[in-house]
Amino acid sequence: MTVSDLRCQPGSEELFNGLCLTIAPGQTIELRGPNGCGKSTLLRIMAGLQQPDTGKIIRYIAPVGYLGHKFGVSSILTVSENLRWTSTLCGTKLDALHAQQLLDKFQLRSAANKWVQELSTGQKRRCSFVCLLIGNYKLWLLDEPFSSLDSHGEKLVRELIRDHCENGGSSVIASHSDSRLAQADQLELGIN
Amino acid sequence: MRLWALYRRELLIESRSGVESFIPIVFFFLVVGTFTFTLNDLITDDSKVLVSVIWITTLFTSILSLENLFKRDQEDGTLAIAVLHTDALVAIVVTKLFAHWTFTGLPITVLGPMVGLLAGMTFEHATMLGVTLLIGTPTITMLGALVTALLVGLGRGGELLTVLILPLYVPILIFGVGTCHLHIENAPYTSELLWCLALFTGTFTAIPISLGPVLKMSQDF
Repeated sequence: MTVSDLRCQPGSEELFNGLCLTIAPGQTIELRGPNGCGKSTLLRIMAGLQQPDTGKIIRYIAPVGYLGHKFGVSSILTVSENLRWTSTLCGTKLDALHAQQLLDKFQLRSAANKWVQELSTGQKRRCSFVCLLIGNYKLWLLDEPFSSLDSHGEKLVRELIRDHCENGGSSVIASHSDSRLAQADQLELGIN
Repeated sequence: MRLWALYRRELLIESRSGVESFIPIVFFFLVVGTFTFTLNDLITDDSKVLVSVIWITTLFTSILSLENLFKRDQEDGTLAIAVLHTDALVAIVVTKLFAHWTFTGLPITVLGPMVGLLAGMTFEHATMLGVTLLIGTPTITMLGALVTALLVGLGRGGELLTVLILPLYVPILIFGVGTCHLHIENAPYTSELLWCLALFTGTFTAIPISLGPVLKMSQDF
């Protein structure tokens, strides 16, 4: 994905101007900055959910795996049903064994047949990640991926991001976490 | 296969939405029932009154149910995920509308003529009412979905939805009711019926394709 000369001014305050970014296979970019500096907006623009004021985005791969502040899973479907929906969206057949392995990895096996609305916030976030993996996306756009996760969940997600990039995938992550991603290039927003 | 999987998902969501899914049908019965009891003599003498009541109530029932069409998906973020999958978006929209029609339009299509029969309508007239509702209810669903999709990102519905949708419903109401009235009067009704079919074909062709970009645009608010 190539982002060139991006400008966004949703209100009276300009979030960014002249922003250029290239995301190569295997690359991780960590967006950092204070609240309201435009991290989430940039991710939404990159995903195609929002239009910038000016600038151009070239997406070489579509669709992208987007994980925003909302969980992106239907609250009145079970975890398994949500996984099936994701695989249907991506036009793939759900591999039951692979799905089981992912549910085990994210400690969701016992919750597989529960409605998502019955799960804790952390479990919902884990469910979002299982869907992201089922989707087999090359580019991940993750907005605060560690929020609501316990230390085990955060460690797991960090490993997933690392493995994803080692396998040729790319990630752009907006994060507030104190510990930075070791392998990531840092992009500070909100610095004029 | 993909269409069936998507349709199954929408049916599950509709069936698990609890009272939200059934309130519109209850509303339909209450309004038609109230009119039937209060205008009893008028309806018995002239079936045209009942046809008009059923058609107008169908429109308001549709508005009541359409408010929730994309609301839940918007709230849990699945709508944003869906619009990113542009290749599947038309299929998602078509199955969503079809599932919505299964829970609102289909029961009205079946129950509307039955109410007519109970109120003294002849079998032929009730059948024609059923035929026009069968053509009209999917048209109503699709037209309403377009406006709902525009409003979903704004988080607005209610009165704004009603004000925007009702003018769009006028043509199908005129031709739907017109067909039934002409049939009751034993006058030629083919042209009105063909207009109903034309409206159905037009909306069925244009709206599923245009809903995708509208939904994507609605994410920008």
